[in-house]
Amino acid sequence: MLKDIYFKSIITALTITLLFASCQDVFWAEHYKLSPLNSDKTLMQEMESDTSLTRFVNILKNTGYDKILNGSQTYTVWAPTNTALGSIIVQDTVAQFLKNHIARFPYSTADLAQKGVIRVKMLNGKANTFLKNGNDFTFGDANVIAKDIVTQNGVLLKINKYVPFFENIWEKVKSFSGNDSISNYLYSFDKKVFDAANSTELGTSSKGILYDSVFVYSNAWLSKFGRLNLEDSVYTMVVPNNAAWKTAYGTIKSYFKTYDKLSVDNGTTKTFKITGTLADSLQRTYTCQALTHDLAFRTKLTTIPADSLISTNKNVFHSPSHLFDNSVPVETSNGLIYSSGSMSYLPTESWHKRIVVEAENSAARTYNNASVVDVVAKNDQFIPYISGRKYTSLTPTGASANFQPELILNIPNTLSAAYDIYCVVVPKYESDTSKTYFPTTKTYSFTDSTMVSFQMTYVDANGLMSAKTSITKDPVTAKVYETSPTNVSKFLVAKGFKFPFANFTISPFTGVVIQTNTVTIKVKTNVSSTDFTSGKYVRNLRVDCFILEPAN
Amino acid sequence: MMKKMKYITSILVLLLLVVFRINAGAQSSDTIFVSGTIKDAATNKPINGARVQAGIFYSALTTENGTYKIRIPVRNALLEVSSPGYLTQLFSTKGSKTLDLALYSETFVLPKNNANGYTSTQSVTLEDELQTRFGADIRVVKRSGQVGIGSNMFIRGYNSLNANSKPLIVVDGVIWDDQANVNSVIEGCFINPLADIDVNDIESVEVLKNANSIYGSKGANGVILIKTIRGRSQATKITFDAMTGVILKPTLTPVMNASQYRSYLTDVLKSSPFSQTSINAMPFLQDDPTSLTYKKYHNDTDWGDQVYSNGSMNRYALSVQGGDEIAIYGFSMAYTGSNGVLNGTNMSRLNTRFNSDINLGKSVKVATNIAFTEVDRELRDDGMDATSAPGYISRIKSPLFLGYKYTTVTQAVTDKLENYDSLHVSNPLSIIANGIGSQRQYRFTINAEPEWTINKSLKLSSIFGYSINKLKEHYFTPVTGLAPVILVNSFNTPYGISYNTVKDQIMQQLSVFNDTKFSYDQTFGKKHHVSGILGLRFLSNRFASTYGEGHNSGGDYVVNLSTSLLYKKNDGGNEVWDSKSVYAQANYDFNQRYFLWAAVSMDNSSRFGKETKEGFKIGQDTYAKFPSVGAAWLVSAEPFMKNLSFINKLNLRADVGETGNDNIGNNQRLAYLSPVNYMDKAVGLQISNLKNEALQWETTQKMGAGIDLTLFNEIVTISGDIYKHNTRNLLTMRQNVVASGLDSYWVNEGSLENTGYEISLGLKLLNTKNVKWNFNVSAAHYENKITALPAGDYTTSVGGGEILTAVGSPAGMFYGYKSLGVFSSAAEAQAVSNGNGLKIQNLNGSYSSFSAGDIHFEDKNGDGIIDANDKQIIGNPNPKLTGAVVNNLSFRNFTLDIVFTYSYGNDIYNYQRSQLESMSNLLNQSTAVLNRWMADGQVTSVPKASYGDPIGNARFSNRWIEDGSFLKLQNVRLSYKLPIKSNLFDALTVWGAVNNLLTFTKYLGADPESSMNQSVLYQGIDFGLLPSSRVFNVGVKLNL
Repeated sequence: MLKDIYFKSIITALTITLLFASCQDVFWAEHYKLSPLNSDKTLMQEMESDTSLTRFVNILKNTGYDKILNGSQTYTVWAPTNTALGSIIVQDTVAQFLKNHIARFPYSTADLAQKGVIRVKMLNGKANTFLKNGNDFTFGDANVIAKDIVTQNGVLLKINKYVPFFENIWEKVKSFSGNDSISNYLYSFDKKVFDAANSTELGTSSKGILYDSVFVYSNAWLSKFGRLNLEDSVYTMVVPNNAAWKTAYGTIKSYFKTYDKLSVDNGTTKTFKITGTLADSLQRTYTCQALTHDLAFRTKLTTIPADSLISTNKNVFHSPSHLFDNSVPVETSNGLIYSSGSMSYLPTESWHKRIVVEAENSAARTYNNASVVDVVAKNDQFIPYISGRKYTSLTPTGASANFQPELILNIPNTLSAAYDIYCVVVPKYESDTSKTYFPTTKTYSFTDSTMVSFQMTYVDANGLMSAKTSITKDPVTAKVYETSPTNVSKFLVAKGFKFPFANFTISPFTGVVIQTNTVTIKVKTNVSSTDFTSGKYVRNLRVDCFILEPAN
Repeated sequence: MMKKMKYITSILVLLLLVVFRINAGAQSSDTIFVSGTIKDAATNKPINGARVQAGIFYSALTTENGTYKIRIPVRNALLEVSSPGYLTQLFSTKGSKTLDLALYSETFVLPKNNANGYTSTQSVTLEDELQTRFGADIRVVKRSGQVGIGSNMFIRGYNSLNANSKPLIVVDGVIWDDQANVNSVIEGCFINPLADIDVNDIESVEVLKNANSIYGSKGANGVILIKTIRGRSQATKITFDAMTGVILKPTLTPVMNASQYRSYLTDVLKSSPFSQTSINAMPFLQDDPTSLTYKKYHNDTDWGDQVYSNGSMNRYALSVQGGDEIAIYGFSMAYTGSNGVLNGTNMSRLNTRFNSDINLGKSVKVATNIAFTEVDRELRDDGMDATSAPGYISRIKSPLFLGYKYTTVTQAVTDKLENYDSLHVSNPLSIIANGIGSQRQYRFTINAEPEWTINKSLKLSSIFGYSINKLKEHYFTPVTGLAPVILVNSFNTPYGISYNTVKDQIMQQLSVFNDTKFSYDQTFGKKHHVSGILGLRFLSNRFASTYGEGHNSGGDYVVNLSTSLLYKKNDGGNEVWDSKSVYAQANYDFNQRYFLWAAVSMDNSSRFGKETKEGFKIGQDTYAKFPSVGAAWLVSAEPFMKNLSFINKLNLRADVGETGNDNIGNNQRLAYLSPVNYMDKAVGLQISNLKNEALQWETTQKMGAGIDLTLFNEIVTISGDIYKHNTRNLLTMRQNVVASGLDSYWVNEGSLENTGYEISLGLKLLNTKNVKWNFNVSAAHYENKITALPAGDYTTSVGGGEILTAVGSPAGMFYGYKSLGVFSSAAEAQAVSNGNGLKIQNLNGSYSSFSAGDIHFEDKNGDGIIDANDKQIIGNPNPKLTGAVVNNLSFRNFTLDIVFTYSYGNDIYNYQRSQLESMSNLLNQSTAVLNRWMADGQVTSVPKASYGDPIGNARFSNRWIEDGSFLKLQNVRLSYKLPIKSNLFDALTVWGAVNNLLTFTKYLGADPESSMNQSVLYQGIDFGLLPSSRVFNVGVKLNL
């Protein structure tokens, strides 16, 4: 009897033990195996099991894309239902249709919880808008009708319309008909660049290191004026058609008339050929650049602002609606194109701009008979009138009649167009912060005034670059140039002066083209020995800058 | 406390007096006898030739009919009955004149008393045996699955926080230094002195866990007394042992395969800072098979298979015992070898031992022990090192890579090892093939113990012990395949890049030990038995070590330390420490019913300061004193128990005393300078410790009571103990004034307590002629509580986790955030905290919100922000119960042992899983992340993949705290004694055993038995060390 009890209890104990034995596996399986709560299907299997997606599934299978959605990378598919597909006709089924509905990474409506909208980057590189609207969600123009279906390799959402493919601005510029002038120009900057950082070194061969090379696309115009080829940011672009391009080109061309190669070099005087292939090509380069550098605007301009608009070249256009005259907006995936039949840019807002050359810019100046100090303006009364708050002070290095201090400044980037040229000179007492010498009406018991003259050097219509006749009087008032001891003087050096040639020395795309600065202006004291000895005038000079205002 | 002790002492003295008084009248000078028959309990057949012993003077043998008659000193005598093949049992006459007895087969021996197992076992180090035999007496936690790497042992809770908390080890009467402060240069490897003893050379193990203070300042954590095998008879016995076995590959945390991993990768990259263009260009996402790099990035490698394989184990041993009237000797030598489951690792041990007992005349004898052991290991870094630990790398390394290179053009696999991969993870195959991690350990010990029997009751003996212990380690990681590591200094400033590492360590320890004692044993008037010892113990250690480290050897064949290495580091030390102790113990028993003992030890150590709070001075030296007393009452021997025949034995015990812990560091009381590298150019000295002459031992006051009960004709054996320990003068760090240049210094402040119980139940479940089944189950419970800390509560950070040390709490509590699950939808995330959602504050002051797919952490203070204020206790690594279930069965010549061990109610911080499920980087993860959250509304317990984890989903929370309870079928062993009689040999036994056969647990790591290292605060942290795996052994034992 007792033994019986023993045996029974042994069997019970063993049974309990065996039950216990299965425990560990159960816990491990619960944790380390796919939970029954989660789908064990792939995206493709999930879609195949959905009868409302048969058409989309067929397209995937026909293009071989079913393998990718059965594979081991995570995607999100916004699948259009059979009814949504309607009578779809697309040229490129993969890039323009399938890849436009599939995104890398899992996305779900939870991504909209905080911002309410995201731009989802699709496999074709396009960004589509995924938006929360109350309790509804839209993708592109489509409504999401079944959301957040989790599969093994991603998320499935079903939509009631297919999302049309839009070209981006950059693609549209090319595919548009009737504007190959601009597209030829812009696409001429395309390049493939070897990307060493992302290339994998495979080993070495007799020819050097062997790479699994990665080349990246590069376009210098896009790098400078806006990445219109990317889907991440949104732009507006004015695109002139061929007729508008031709007219604008004709207009702008005259501003960029350029001399040709150097033919005679006598040091200070040089002679250039006035025509030639270099001259033509430079004129074309600068003209095209000027024609296109203000076409792109950040943001999508469905309405044109009334006050002002800034181009990606940072030029400001006031009352800009005229820029869009005679143009039609065209939708793209990353903004709008205004296809324009005429270009109505004002030269002074775009390419014919004011030029200011600071005297304190030591790289652009030379000086004689003087020692030079660059000064930061201290006197509050003058500071508003002194550009950059700095000027250059010249002190004569000798007292003889020959010692007329002079300062020569290089003037870059002048166009073959008219300018009013000014020079700004600062009085001695700027450096005195006490305001005793004001107002200017007061009479003073001392003198710190000087006479000045100017001389310009440029390439004239004959191609001769030389120092021209000195200018000693204001061309309008015919007064000699006498600096004020107490006030900032702004002298008109020339009015409506037209340079025969543009003086562009650097191309934004190709670097330095011509190394000579052909336009310089010299300012110099013009005080006779008598006046100097008598103390009527000094030979101290403080130059702030030269200003070249475009003249109409 | 002291008052209480005095009180108890006086009660015991009173009791003693009362006992004397009672006995004064009961004395009788008659010669008295007891007689009866002795039978086999199973067959009821009489036992011939059984030996009956009463005290030390009277003995008798049974006749063929099993009858005996023996003279006894007192009416209530204790009879010890023994016979070959039977269990030696104690019986109380309870005043009867006749006593019929039944003996049980030796199958029924208590596991801890079974010496057989020690002499034929597959255990390489003693701890493995202690765990199964001593169940509740010692809590044994395996360090890792490395063969012979040992275990951390704790007796009755944790009696220290910062000092050593492991029990004292005494081998053949000689104290062994446990080398607690020596760290291996190989990560995850431990120095295990116990591996120097072949378990087969062990005769018996005794565990001292009560309040007895005989080991004074070394005994606070309990004592393990080990005796090695000695010759027992003059007959020559030759034994040959052979064993072979296979160690199976460990069960590893399952990680994702290539396709699952790639799917994960393309999910986690969503939140990465990489642009879509660069993600699209990543070579492992390129699916064009014609690409020249396609194969390199499109493999499906199971790194676990590449790194681990089945290991093996072998042991061959020869032992000879014999002698003559003058000398008896025991000699053994053995070789143990093992190939580890981690490829490239192995272990071998050669040990030899010669013990002799020589009689020099009638009253003088000398016992000697000479032993030499060499343990060699070849290892690799273990644990969570992502650079150099092949085991961990096999979990995190992307399956898309292969360990070998492909040819560049034809894309064929070569035998050239691949370099570290583009995710910056090392190639583990290269570390295995070209790395070095050798550890060589030698120990030579020689002991001599002369003993002079002065007269019948007085003996003088002295143990002289001498040992040399050497350790030599060499470590090298190859340049090929190793991911470079940025080296940072203590201020976290980078100072260099390590392309590989060379480390060397040499250590030598000389120990001299002497224990001289008088032993006294006398019986007065037949009923008063007095015994005692008075001794003097001396231990001296000389320790010298050298350590060198350097980086960037420049190649895989320059493996040694040299001057050309960069970022060199040197260290080393010469340490000397001594301790001496005067101790005494007195035992008294009356009528073999009432037992009393008292012990005292007075200890000095070079580690103690000169001006301690609790010590007293003798000359210049500070001594600590440790008194203890105890009593026992064998109730079953009382005449009034005569009618309660179902009670065979009832014994009550109680003890109280004080012990100490002198393992407080050799130089902590002294001010000293240590070398520092100055700008990696020159070496300077800086102050490293402040002098504190008040520094002393930690004191543990122990109180305990116990009961031993045997019932129903000895079928049921119950033993129970309760105890309470109060430890004061805890070694703790105290904050210092900044002007001193040191942040903190050591003081004796703080206290803790341990209370608990131990219980064991033995059942002789079956006892028939052919089938016998002995069943033992034991359980131990301790409750640790910190009662005072000098500088208040603090936390210690360990591998991303936080351990709380707080007054009122047990040691080692996990302190972190509480996870309430995963927000399945954005609406759900928004709904909490009154519709405001939960946030964290970023470093720049801005806030980030928890959203769908993030973990919902409990906002304890309800402010809507998850920060340090929301931390709470999230787990307790201390088990509620630990123990073992042992079954010994025999069927004719077969014996079957089935041993379970268990731990119940302990939590584990699964550090490895916290890394394998963080989903914050591009490394491989466990397959649990297949269930990760991906879209709104998905209900799952695994959050979303989030690169860099900015919101902190993987922070230290109860996600990583798991129930570590387990029941392990630790050992199943079947042996068969061949029924062959031969002239060639006496006996031939074959056996087979399986270790670690089954583990029943909820734990999600590889092995619930885990502790990061031996320190108290690091228990219950799974640092991903090599898990134990199944081991199958077969062996043969031949007695000639």
